[in-house]
Amino acid sequence: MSRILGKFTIAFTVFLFVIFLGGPLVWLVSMSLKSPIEILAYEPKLLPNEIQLGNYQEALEKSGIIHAFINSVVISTVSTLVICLLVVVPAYVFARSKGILTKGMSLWILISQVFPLSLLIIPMFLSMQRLNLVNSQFGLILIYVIINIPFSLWLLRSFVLNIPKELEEAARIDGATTAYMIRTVILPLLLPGMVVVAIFTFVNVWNEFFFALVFLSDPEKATLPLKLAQFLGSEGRGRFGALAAATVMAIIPALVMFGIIQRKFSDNFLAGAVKG
Amino acid sequence: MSKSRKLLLAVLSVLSLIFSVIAPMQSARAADEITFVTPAWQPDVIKAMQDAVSAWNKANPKTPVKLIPGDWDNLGDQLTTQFAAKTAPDVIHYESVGIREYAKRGYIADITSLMRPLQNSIPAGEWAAASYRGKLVGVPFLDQTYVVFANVDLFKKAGVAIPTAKEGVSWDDFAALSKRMTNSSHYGLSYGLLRPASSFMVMSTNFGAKFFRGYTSGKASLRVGAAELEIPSRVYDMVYKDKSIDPGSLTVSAGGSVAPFLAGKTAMLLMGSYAAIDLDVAAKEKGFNWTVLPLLRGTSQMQAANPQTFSISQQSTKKKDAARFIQFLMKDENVTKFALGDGLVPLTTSAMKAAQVAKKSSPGWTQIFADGENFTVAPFAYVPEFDQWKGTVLQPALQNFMQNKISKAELVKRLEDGWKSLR
Repeated sequence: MSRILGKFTIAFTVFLFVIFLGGPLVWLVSMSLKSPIEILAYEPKLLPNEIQLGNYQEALEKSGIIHAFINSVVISTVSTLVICLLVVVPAYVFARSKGILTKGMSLWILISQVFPLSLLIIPMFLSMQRLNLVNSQFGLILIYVIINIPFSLWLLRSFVLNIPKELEEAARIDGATTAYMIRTVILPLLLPGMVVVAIFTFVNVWNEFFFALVFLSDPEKATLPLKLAQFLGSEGRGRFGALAAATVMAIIPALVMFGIIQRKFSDNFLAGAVKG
Repeated sequence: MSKSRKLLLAVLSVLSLIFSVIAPMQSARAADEITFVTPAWQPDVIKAMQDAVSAWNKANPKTPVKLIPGDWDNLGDQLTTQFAAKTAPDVIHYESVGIREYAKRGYIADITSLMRPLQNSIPAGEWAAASYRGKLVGVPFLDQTYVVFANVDLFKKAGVAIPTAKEGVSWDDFAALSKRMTNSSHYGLSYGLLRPASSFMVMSTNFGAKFFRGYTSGKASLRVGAAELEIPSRVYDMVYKDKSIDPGSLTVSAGGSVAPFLAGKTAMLLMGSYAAIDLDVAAKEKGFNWTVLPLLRGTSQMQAANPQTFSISQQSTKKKDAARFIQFLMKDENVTKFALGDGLVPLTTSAMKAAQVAKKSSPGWTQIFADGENFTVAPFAYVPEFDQWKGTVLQPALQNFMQNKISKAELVKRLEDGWKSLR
């Protein structure tokens, strides 16, 4: 009896969790298919009375959402790849080195996370302006790399700490150099950590709004969050149907990508788990 | 070649490919291009802006305009950074309260002489509201009145006549009307009170509320007296004593207060004139029958002007061309389209006439346009720090008061102390 009750409790908890996570998504899709009047309904219904595709048409035709989507994909992907490439060696050094310099640097990186980004925006803007990188996607990628590296570094450092030192010692006994050992021993074991860093970075960059708003003035270079904000007016008003449609289109590819990455993540994470 | 080297080579190839795609996209701004930022968001207004820019570019190929979309909530942050870095757009579409703050910091050009030909066609109160220390810093072209929309069918059903007197509806009569229209099936009024600061400040001019004194000297002081408390007190009484305002109003912003009105859960809606856009859609799709009451009246019907404006950045090197472009935007055909698309009052005499003709069959729109003569410049328009005080002090204090968390005395204290802390 208690076993059945336990299973029921687990199933019920999972059900609530799915509702909690999936509810807003269902609502978003439903809203994207409703007419403007249905969206304004006093007692909104979960499903639209009549499916309308006008919101999708408006989002596609009038907002340049596809172009912004491509911009977001490029900027997020490049930022993520660059960060993943840049953080491996420092993460290894911070995890393994016990020197005062390393400790000091690692503390400084941690402290740098305390400053609110809004305080840094004007100095950063002026610096980028001197480098002629304002209104440039390359400049924005540079900013994203800079602001995301500290967290990624700390995150990956914790994965390095979990790798047994004995593996490195064995590689060294076999005559491996540090670079060779990182490439052949550490990197494969860090793959789950890299996937986590990639997911965090990609999501951060994909959703980032403020830096993109300030650094990109050219509409052709705008990212998705900038385009989505243009569906909103003042005083709580907005073109909510078109906004919902644009958001649905924006998240579908991201969901697919995360589905693939998540699978890879689980595969790698569990690899070797049952070996003696 | 080892597997890891192949992987590294592949990643580098992908990166260089992507950078080679991005690099040509970093085109430098053309030297003779006029940049124009607009937070327009209604589809018809966006189209009207795009059409105007296209028409300008066709007629002026040597001084093309580049349109940069912005959004109302973030335009201030965007401009602050751009002004600091001297990369601000040449022409800025914003609102007078915000633009005056930038004018105080020297970021906005004095365009008084460049725009002199337009002065006679724009109400003096609006012109003054868009000026800083006697200098025009933005051309006012649209403004909004806070009006009372009525559900005609609910009034008919209740056998209550909708007021039509030209001298307006007094606040006492309005409260009584709202109470009368409250019954078991609906409330008298829907009024988004989640962020009440803007509408309260604009309508406080009904009772001659000044809030600020000594503002012309640049050292404004704030005093909250009886006149300043009229609107908050009256609305508070309608919520808690008369119980004629839908209590859900306290938890929704202006946009959220339309739904109960359209559903027949309230007989009236107090909101900016822009709600007419949604009501028109409802009228077309489900036969919703709406109109607008004459403006509310305290000691007068006057409402504070906070017009949308076109300004020129002080940093612009193309001020004369930018001014010519603003004059082009101010053509009747353009201003009329902006007004009808946004549900706002056009501020030039001839655009107003054109808008009245376009909407002559709608009593609601006719009333909205007729209200356009009731704008006056409020003292707060002269206080550059007003916007900051409104956001950080007034808004939260009014929210607490309307949610019955603080007393009237505490409200006064918070407003006055909050102002002192900003000075």
